[in-house]
Amino acid sequence: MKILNCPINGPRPLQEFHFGGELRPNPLDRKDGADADWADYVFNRDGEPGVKREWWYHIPSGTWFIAERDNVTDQFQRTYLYGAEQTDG
Amino acid sequence: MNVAMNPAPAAARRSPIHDALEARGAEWRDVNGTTFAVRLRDEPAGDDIPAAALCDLSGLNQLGVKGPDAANWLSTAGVDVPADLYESRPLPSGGRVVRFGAHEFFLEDGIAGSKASELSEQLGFGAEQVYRVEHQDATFLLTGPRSLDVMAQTCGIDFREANGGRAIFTRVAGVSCALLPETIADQQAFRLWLDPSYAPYLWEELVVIVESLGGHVVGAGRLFPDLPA
Repeated sequence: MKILNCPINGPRPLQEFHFGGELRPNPLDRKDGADADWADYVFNRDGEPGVKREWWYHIPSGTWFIAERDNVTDQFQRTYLYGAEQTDG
Repeated sequence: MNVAMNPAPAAARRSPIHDALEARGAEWRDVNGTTFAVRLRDEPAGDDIPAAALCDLSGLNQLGVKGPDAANWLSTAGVDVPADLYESRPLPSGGRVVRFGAHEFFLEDGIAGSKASELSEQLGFGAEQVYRVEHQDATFLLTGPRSLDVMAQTCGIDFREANGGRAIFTRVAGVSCALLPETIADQQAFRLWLDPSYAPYLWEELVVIVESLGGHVVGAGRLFPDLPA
């Protein structure tokens, strides 16, 4: 059974989670949020092998958090609440 | 044209599995504005708790509150407010309060208590910095020596090491539940809160497993002999 560690609820089977996509900066946060930025945001995804920062959702408790996952080995490296990557492991 | 109309009957909460209990010959009793199945037709004789006992307590009054002043409001009302996330504390007249978030709490009356319903009336549509969170959760209680086996078949958590009194958000037979391990009559017990729309499915699944382990569906009167008349 694959286990993912929710930063609030602890280690749980993967069936309790929902994948929310890669963490990507919102074009609205860019000063020059032009049409090209929006097109890139809407249509393009980064499929390069490596460690990705991703949104995951713990369904029973309604907790969104960030997981760092190596998409080559499919191993989770660490999880933390959004904005808390400096303190949580 | 004048039409004579009878006044609407007083609103009463009804369990989402009322029909399933009715089919088992439930003997109903009104308590605190809701109905409980106190005994079922096929329950074994005597007062002993069977190997695994599944009981519906969805009639218990519930209240959710959240907001920056929610903890203070509860404390002022005489509630022992849990300090930590998911921690639970008993309510003064029976029942429990569970901390569901930094500023969110869930209260459920006990079988004989009425603190949650009193606070619900007191809160009305809300107070300053205290907001109502509507809860119409189904409440199931699973107990008995083999209740751990039921959980082992339906859930990914190892409850042999679970800390009693702390709520756990997990999935039971694929249904998202808040689950509270507790002790009833010296027996391990699990209280499950879930969305009522999933209640008939989960009830059906749990009944099959409980009965396959030699257990029974029981009325509230067996687990709580002090159920008010």
